[in-house]
Amino acid sequence: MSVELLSTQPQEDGEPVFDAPWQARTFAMAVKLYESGLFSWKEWSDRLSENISLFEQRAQVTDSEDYYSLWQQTLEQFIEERLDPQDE
Amino acid sequence: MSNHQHPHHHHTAPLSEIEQRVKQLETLLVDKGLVDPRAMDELVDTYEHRVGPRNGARVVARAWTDPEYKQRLLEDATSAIMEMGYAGRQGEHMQVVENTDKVHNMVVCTLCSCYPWPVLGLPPTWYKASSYRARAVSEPRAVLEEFGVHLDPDVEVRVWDSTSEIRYLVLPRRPDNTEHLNQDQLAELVERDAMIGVALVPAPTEAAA
Repeated sequence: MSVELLSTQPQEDGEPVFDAPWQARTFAMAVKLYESGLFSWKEWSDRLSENISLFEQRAQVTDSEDYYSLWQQTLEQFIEERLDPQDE
Repeated sequence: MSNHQHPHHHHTAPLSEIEQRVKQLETLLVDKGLVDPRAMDELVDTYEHRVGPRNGARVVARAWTDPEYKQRLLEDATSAIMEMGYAGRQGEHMQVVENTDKVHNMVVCTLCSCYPWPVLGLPPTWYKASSYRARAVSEPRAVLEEFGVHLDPDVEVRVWDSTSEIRYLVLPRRPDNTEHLNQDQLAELVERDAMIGVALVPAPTEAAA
């Protein structure tokens, strides 16, 4: 019982945490850049919300692919705005 | 990861395009020394395998069996949860809302996907979906019915909107006939959806143990 419990820790209903490897990568990049101070988490969720709301004017977020595509879009915006291309 | 090679025909952008964008960005960030791929692997592993709703279930089970802990949890959830060793990202400002025979609480993030990672892991897809985020507010009782939660009409439903500043966790009602169970056994009864408020904790079945 306890082994089963451990192996089912992340999502008890068997749903994978990420649907595809790219979703995990974009997730991890955002968290790491937040931790290194490129944006605050409030800035992150405000911008993500904005992008979701724009998306929802023409479609619905229905799956993990929709959601992490918006996550990636948000990340690209922050990189473009805040990362100096000449940096290093 | 092997079963995700097939294209997702329902989506406008081909999967390969988004994969390319993500890969490109990672290459750029790694080249600039802004992210470490191994640290990213570790982070992904953490949320795929280590942090999930069992943590929240242990918090709930302790609150059910330890009145002083419950008091602390309702007064200052962030500290009480940290006291159990569950600290970290997106758990900085927590509030626990208690279900009673008169009030049923449910949690949504209407704008995006704010969710208490240290106690529940990353949110399920339905929590991030447009329909849940809109309908949890506009017709919570209908949503609860769809999740299989049938409440008496006189039970008040309270909907809590998590944000980047405060994240909610529902303390579900302890089921009847569980006086003989210890904390670990109680924790096994508590599933993720009950802590989001879209499920009740079922009484233990005969076969449990």
